[in-house]
Amino acid sequence: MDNLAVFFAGLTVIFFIANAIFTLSAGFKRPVAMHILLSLVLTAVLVLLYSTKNLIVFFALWEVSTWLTYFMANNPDKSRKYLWVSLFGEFLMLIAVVRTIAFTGSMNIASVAQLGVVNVVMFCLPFVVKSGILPFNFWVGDMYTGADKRFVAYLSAIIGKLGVFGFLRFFIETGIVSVGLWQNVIIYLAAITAVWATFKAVASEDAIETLSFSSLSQVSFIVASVLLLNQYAMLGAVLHYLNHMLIKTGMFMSVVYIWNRIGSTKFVDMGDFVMRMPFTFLFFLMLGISLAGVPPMGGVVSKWLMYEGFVSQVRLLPVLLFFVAGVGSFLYVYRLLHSIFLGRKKKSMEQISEMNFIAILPVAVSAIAAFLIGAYSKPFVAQGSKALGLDIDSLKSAIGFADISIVSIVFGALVVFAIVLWWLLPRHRYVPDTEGYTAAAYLPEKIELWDYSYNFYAPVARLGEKFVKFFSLDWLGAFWMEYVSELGQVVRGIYNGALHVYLMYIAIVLFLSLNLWGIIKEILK
Amino acid sequence: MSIEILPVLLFIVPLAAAFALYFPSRRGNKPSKIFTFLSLVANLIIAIKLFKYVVVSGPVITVFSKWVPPLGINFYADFMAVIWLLFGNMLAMFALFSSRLSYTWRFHGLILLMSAALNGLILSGDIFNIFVFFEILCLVSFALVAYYKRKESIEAGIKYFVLGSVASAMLLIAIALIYGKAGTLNLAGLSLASASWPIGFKMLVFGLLLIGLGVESGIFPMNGWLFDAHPAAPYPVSAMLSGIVIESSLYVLLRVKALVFPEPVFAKILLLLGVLTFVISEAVGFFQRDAKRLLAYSSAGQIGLMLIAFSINTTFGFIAGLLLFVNHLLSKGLLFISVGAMSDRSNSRDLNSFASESVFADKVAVITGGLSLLGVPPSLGFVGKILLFIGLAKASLLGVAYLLVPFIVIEALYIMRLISRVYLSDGKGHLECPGQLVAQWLLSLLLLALPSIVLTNGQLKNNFAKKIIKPINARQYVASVNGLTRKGIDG
Repeated sequence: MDNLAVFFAGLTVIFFIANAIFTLSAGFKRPVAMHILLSLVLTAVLVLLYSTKNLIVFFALWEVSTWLTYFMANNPDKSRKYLWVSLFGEFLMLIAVVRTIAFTGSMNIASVAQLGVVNVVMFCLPFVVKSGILPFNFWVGDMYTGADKRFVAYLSAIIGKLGVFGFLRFFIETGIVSVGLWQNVIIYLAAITAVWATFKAVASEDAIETLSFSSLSQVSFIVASVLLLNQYAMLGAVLHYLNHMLIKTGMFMSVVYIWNRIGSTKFVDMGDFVMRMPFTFLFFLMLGISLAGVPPMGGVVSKWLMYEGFVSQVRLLPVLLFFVAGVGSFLYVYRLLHSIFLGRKKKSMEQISEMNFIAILPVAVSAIAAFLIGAYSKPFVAQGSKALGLDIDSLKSAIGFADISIVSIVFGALVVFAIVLWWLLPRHRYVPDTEGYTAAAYLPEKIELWDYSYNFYAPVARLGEKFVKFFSLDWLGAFWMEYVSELGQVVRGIYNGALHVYLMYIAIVLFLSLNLWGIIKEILK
Repeated sequence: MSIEILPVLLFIVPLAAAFALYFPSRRGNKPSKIFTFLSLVANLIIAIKLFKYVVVSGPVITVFSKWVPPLGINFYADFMAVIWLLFGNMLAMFALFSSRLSYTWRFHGLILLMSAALNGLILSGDIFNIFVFFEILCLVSFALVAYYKRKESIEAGIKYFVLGSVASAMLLIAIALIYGKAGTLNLAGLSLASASWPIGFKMLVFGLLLIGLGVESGIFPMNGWLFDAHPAAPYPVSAMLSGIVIESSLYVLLRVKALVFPEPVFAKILLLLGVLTFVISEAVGFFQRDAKRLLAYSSAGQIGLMLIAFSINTTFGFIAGLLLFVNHLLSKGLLFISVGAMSDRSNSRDLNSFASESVFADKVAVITGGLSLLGVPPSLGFVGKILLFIGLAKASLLGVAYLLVPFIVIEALYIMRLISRVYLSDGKGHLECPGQLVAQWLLSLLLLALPSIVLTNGQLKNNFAKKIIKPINARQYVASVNGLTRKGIDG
């Protein structure tokens, strides 16, 4: 195992343990033994995947991870898109693997690059597919919302970012240092994906969906940073991998816990849960701040490094797009906090109580770790550069120096100031639903008609409507479905069950075989 | 006991048992089934013995009544043949074991005859005997497909019968032409004689043989019968039809092709037909709503894949073909037994309702069988597909690989549709025959264990490398049978 493998394997195993603790203690109604067993197998497969440099083993483990993911999601209809697009990518990877073995005689990942850019692109295609970057973004929404809720944290924290590992392994093994056309194409596609996913997350009415699109947005940023092949961007990518893992572990666990209690992940069914689960709110808030990239949490460190990489390479358009996505992340983080923990009190409030001590432990650890990365980043930066074989020990670069600890102190002082203000100023009071209405009006049953937690960011959603629609690629899917079903009708007609038709086919073969040599001779002339 | 007797026993034992079945059958279905099962177990033991001998010491040739070829007839068992025999007899045993107790002696007798015909077909060293065994096999299969005497079964049986008869006629014409030209029907003799035939004549004979054997082996476009026969037949018969019957015809086609038609153009024709068979079967299979019919399309697709593997003429292709065959036989046998049993229980073959009466073993069986069939690592299918792709790359045929990819994905999608219906069912059905359960568990275990046996057994690997590598070793075949001929003339 090299340093990269140790880094990723370590994180995956830690995540597995945290996830197992949460799954066992959160009081799920359905049996969890099978789920834990499959997670264990998946974790073992991933650890082996991180360790291997053999092409066939790498491919085999990659495919096994796809199948395990499919089975763990436990919703064949919703994960069908994921399966077919992953398998499609993987079989192209298989062709690249086979070409490499057949033509170079080597089974090492390093040899993939010897056979030209087409081979490289085919090999890397599954990484792009797993990351959900355009045009493979269509599986993300269905997969996350349809998957077994106990599995979404795994899906977001580890599986969704397997592509990042794939690219890192590939570039470190092959030693490619120049950014070619294909990398540039993926970087721009990733930037568009980040904006698209942000709009989707902002417009979503479902907490799981919001978090899943947020994951897609962040993963796009990470993948683009890896492909930039700039040492700061790559280090930032690795650190953001860690950050994002922590963030999504805690956030998904909180939302899944709520789902287990109230049976819904819709924003309109939640509100004011801070009164019942203050600690969860606190950790969720910390993680949200990290996700938005605000000091003093860890997100700012990794994002700073990634921006640093892009700016130093003068990639201004992608930076702009990622910046838009970053601003969007403020919006959806606020939405999550507001709609789940603040806002109007809902009926579901009665079913909610604070997580038990063991279940909240992984969430708390994630939040504290996210804070540590921000407040004291040095050891994390050192670990990240060790994994990549780089020589960076602080956040100092040609452009500047980011001392997050100073920022953190300032930020901490501001927080204290805010708390003091909150203490001193008069408190808000709860406004009953009935107060804002005239006496004759009563509230309709359908809460979406009048509750402001529904359609929260209507103007922003309208702003990105056309953009989102275009890049959702539904039009492409519709086109293909039409095409495929028409072709399917034709193909199905071949075997129409009529005996005389089957006899006619034999007659055609007979005719061909009687005349075949003549035909071939004619062609050869 | 001399080792030469084993191939003969493989044919004689089930044949004799089919006639001797009269006595146990008078006491009811159960003794009849036990008797048949014991005969098939005996057959399997003989096949294992022959397999062990051939893997260690090379091919076995049996000459009947000391009439050496080309005057007499001979059986020939090389590595490829014993693989077919071993797994074919194994599947026959499992299929019978899983069969329902309501099946009468007719069913058992026909299964025994089918087993005898299959073994004869695979072992036969001359083309006329191939025809004879082929006829027996076809007649028995027609009867088995129509076993239920329902409208659907009889219709499927008739289609199969008509197409099979046309195929037999073509095969007979081809044999007549060959005999007229070469004066011998022994495959080794033909291999020597065919070198001087004009290519036009060869093309004609090949075309006729292709129809003759292609109908039974399910090669596009002659496989129309297959998609009616597989669903209509009782499930043990479907398992055998899909797992070994169509493959044994394919085996004969490949053997005749390797010995008599070594020119590359014939391999190219088979490659083209293989690609067409795979692509079209998978594309049509995607739209099926009938669980057993869906499996039938997948069988045809796998035949296409085997045909591609065997016709790329490289070592990788050959080994890939063997692995794909073994994988398909076991996994499809398992799938047909499970899906057939489930649909018999729920009295429906519709994809949405066939699994309503599933039991836990069905879930395990369908997941194991389905994933092996799709070639999910580390199944044999995975090894087979990798080797097939490497073979294609080595033969500069990567274009074929690109073409196969979307259809491999399509197959995965529809097989997953089948699997998901089973594993999402509640699994509280009522099991009617414990034999099903045992057969399912044993086949599942075999499927799970085989990859590690194949990949880690040093002796098998060495023998693979040393002896087995040469695809259907034409030269060895001719040399050994010719040696016999020489001995006969001298003696």
